[in-house]
Amino acid sequence: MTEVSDLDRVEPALAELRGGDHRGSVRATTLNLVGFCEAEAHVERAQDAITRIGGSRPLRAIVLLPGEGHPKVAVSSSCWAAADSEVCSEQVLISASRNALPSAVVPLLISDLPVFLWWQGAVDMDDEVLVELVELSDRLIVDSDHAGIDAVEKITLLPRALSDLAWGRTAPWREAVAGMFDTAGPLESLGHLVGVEVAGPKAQASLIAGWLRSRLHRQVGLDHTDRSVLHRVSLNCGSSGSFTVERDGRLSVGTAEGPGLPAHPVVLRHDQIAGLVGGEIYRMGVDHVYEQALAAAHEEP
Amino acid sequence: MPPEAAVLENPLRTGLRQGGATQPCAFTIFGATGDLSQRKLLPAIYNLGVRGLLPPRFALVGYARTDMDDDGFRRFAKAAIETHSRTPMDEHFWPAFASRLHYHSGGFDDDDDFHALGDTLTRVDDEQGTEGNRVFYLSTPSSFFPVIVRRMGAANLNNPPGFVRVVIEKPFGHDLESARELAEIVHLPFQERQIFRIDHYLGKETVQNIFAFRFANTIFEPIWNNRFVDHVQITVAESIGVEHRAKFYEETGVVRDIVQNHLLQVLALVAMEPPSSFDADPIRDEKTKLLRAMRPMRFEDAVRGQYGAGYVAGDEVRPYTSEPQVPADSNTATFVAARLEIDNWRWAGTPFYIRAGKRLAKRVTEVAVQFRRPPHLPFHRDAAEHLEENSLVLRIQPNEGISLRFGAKAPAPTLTIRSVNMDFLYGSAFLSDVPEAYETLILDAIRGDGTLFTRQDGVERSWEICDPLIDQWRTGTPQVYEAGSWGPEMAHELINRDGRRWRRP
Repeated sequence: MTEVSDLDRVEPALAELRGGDHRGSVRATTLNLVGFCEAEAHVERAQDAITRIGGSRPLRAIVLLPGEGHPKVAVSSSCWAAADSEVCSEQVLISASRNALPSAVVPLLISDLPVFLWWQGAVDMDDEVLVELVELSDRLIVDSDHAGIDAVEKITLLPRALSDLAWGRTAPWREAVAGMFDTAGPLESLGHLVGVEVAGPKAQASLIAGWLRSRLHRQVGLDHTDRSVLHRVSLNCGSSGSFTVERDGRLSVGTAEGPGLPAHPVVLRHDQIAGLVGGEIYRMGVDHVYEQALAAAHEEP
Repeated sequence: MPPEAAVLENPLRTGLRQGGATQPCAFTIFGATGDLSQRKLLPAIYNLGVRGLLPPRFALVGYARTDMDDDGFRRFAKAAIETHSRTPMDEHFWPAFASRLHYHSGGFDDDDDFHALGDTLTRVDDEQGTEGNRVFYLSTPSSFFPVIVRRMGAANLNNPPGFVRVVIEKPFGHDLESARELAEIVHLPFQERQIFRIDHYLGKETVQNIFAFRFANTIFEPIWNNRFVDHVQITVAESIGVEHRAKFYEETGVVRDIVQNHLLQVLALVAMEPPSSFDADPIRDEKTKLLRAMRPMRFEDAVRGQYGAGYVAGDEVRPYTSEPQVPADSNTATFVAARLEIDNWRWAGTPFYIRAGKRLAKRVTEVAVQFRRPPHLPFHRDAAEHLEENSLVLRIQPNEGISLRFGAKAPAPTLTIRSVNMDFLYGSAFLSDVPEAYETLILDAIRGDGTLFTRQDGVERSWEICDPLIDQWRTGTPQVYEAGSWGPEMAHELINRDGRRWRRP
């Protein structure tokens, strides 16, 4: 990254990076992505993910790291081949006192483009920096696998659309589970669902249980076994038997099976952080299914 | 209730993002060992599987004359996918996918083979839980379509326990009469809603983007009419020759190969009225209405060409009549330019110029909407002497995107206006992997969504538009044009006589 002396120098420095490329670059920015990193350890991961995301959606990213004293600013540009030209995404890294960070973001946002706030840190409704950055944003992206599902549930009070990377990790599993109930026999069994066994991270297990409760409007017990990644989801449909999706070892495929349902392969991809955040920046509105699942996550029978 | 309508409400499907197919189904490819199957169909179905878009209970049954068992077909399919898939082979995914592949060896004109195929499909239903739902894909030369469809009816394959859909590749006949004959044959065992006529052009993301561009934006639609649009140019240019398709091309020619299907379909999307919804019938109704308003092609308003020798992309190429399997005295047209008119309120008086051909200067498909000049230019004559009309170009391939040309003041002490282009590159805003057209269309056929498929009335009307020209071109000689050019000189005269000129794409 190229260090610049202060915030006023960011735009000229970015323009220089674009103009300095003699192969000719196209500026086709589609969004602003603000990445807040509570600790320095998060910065490299965030920058790497943002660079990858920029490879599919040209963006301006502003990475924020709480620090001390006068803001330290650095800029970079990453370019990809596109048609007979290339397209570039921009990154600005700002380290400044925590309370000053929102004021540093405002002048750097590209006007009239959506703003996504990817928050990596503790989630607290009383955190004024979080609240101020949310006010600048159209969507807040958190991760209840790290922040905890209780804390994430509280911030649903903030008036912004919310994305949860833990929910995103359950997406292929929800697809696979839903896919078992597209035909009459299994669908009837779903009416007898009493509980779900989940082997995986706690937050994801709670969200899957909440999803089943909110979609089916019934009480569903959760039997959770802790694993670092989702490995198995089994729906206990009482006398109708169990419907199970299970990962094949550590692979991105698995098997789904149940009564009256031949075992069949399912795709259970492991999305990396860039894929998860990248998936959320295609969404604009409220994800009602997620918010209902989150609200129902604690409704243990 | 017909099986197609018996879609169950699965409450767990709400809010899922993938939009994959849900109903179990067995997908049969007739001609499974053929070129199209190897290059397009098998890779497309594999990629749908990798993307998690196939139904959870799905089986693929290959049908062809080649003698092979299931394992042999799995090896064949894997080799085809490894060679032609846009994504690399996932060795972890492959075993599960391969377990869904089956093969049935048989001829296209043998009742016993078709009855045996029915038995195979019943066995597949039991093994894979596909519940008697069937999609049949006719990936064979069109001369086999009537034979296969009749045999399917005789073997009761049109009447399975679940839904049935039949996908037919173009050409849908070779003229109006044969299209109607084919429809009569196909309509004996199948209803129109069960027939999916595939034109892969409509599966291209950038062709579908024409819908989005026209009907998701308010700023263009008010000027999308004869009041503001001077004329429209549609170009479908290929730099390749007839390659290995000479025999087919000799019987077909450019009008049947490109104009009757791809080009008229694109034109219909550009010129149709807004549909009431993005559903199959409202869209196809509007497309057909547009085609009905189009005058049939006229000899006087068309130019035919045939490529001669020349250079394309630096390589010397031979003339069409020296291609293998092409007679030296062939009068087959490899190029057409034509002036089309649409007799409706929106487009009356605004001509649509089309051109399509092989061995042209470069491969490009685009729609250029040329707007009228301002009624009065309040500038000194010198200031705007190089100002061109506004134009909006929808580039379909390659470098998919949209380009808007408008006038801007050049930096100079005096007022000088020049034309500048503002480009939007589709691939710049959405750099992610774009699915192949066949992935989109096969998934739609499995889901029963006919939006991107052609309906019989549209097919017939397209032939009504093209047949007069095809008839008149049976005799006579095409203008020879130099390979690597933009067609014969008369193509330029065709548009120049109206005081206009072709764009250089």
